[in-house]
Amino acid sequence: MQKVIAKVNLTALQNNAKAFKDLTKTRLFAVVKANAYGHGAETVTACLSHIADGFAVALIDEAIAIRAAACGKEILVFTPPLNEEEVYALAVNGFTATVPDLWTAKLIASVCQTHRLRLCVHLKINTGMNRYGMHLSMLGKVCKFLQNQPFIEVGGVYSHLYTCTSEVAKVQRALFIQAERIVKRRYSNAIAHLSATYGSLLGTEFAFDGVRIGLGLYGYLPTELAESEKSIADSLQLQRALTVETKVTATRKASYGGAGYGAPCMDKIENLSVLRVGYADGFLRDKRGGLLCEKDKSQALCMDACIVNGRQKRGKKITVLSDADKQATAADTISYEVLCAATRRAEFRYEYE
Amino acid sequence: MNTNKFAFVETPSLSVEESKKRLRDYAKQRRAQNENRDIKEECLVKNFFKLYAAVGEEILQNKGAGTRLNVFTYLSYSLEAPTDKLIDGLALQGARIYAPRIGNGELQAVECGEDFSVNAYGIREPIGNPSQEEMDIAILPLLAVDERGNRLGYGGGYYDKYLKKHPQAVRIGYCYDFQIYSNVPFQEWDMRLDYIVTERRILAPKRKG
Repeated sequence: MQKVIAKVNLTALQNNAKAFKDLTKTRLFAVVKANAYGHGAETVTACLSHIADGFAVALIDEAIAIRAAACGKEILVFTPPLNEEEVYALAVNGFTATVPDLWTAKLIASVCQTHRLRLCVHLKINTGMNRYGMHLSMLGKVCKFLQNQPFIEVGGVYSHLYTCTSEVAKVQRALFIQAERIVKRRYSNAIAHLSATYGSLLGTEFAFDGVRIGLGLYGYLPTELAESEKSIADSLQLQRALTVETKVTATRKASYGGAGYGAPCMDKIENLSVLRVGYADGFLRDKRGGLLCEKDKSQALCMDACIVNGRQKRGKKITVLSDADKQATAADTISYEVLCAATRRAEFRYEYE
Repeated sequence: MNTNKFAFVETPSLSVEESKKRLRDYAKQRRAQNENRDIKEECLVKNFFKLYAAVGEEILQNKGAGTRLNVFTYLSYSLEAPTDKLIDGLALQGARIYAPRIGNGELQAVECGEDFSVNAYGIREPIGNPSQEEMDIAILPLLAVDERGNRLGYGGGYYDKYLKKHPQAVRIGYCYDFQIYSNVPFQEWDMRLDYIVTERRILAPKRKG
């Protein structure tokens, strides 16, 4: 098998999900967008279908991919629909749509009326992220409009924390509480959810009726945590679920030329090995740390192969990703980006341990 | 000037026929993106025979010993869930297999032989005389279905008319899992399914008895 092997420990995922559920004591939406952060959305969904109370994805296509695996649990689509076709796809498949403004509310209402299709929606409030979401002052108007729509059911209201600092989060929470009040006055069954992984570490007053756990589910946390948040995070005992393995495909003694594109000419005989992993597999090119984050080894990451110093046995398995945080630091990015990319061309091996 | 901002929302709903057409278009589009068909077929056949073991036994008990089941099944065409392996399996289990043929503007059940003709739509049809036997199980193709068992076909109404005449047949929808949608529009002459078999699950929307 020439493909990179992505091993996903499903027990770790389940334990992480349970840990967050115990911590927040509320509903858990498992965020499985971007192919479950590179872990394989369908299988991750299936293994969490009895733990999570719902799933969240970014796109309609992602929702379609996990629909059967979700076993009838609610699937929330973050990206608001843009046209008739997208609303139709949301409604006919029974997904939950996001309504971030009056324009979308009108669009959804008119399409659902035309096709006589019921659609559950969650209202998105902008509390500072300024990405999607309506200003608090528009919320009453949107609620009033939707209340007269027989085919629309408002199932929830949500917002998103945009920093990892508790001071800002408190301001956002204060705004969100107002939104929650406005929505629940009209829709008593609606659920409010504000926190993602970071917010869930801030205590139960940030949990509301649900939390959306993404990064934490896969065993990682945002890097800039305060001491108190760190101790809570430690108590969760999160396990990292993903490791990526590849094989040594060639090994040689070289006495001239460079190791890889444009590398400086070598002045002595060197042992080199070639790993079957490259940037087309989703690994990041970086000059400082290198693929394996070992500073003393010069490396050259090509599209499909990577040349490393040292003699390795041909066919030997090498782990190239077990700690996304370390690689993210080396490549000057965040663990989210490392995880999303690292299994782009991989073959998945799922195991319970 | 129209001062009511929400006036356009009062646009009349589509008729059931129009909504059906819209869903047909969407379902055909989704069906064209279907992947891993051979793996899914294997799972479909496996799931079908799980259901067949239960349903078939019940019918045979009522029919009495020494009889064979009469199974009416479509011959798959284009991107429909394939029935070739299914038919092989049914034959092995000793069922008598009938397939639909369009004659005199309606669907007739004809016992499957070795040879087929191809009709104007490109669908295979068995050769022989229409059978007068009562069907025990009917396996139906579909474009879309919902969890209540409302089935959406191509719109000819052939199967609905046939099933109306043979109400005793257990109606099984045979399809891929993505063909289950949240809500399928239906009209009073549409026949609901008793079971839905997909490569992932077996649904029993309306249990008999």
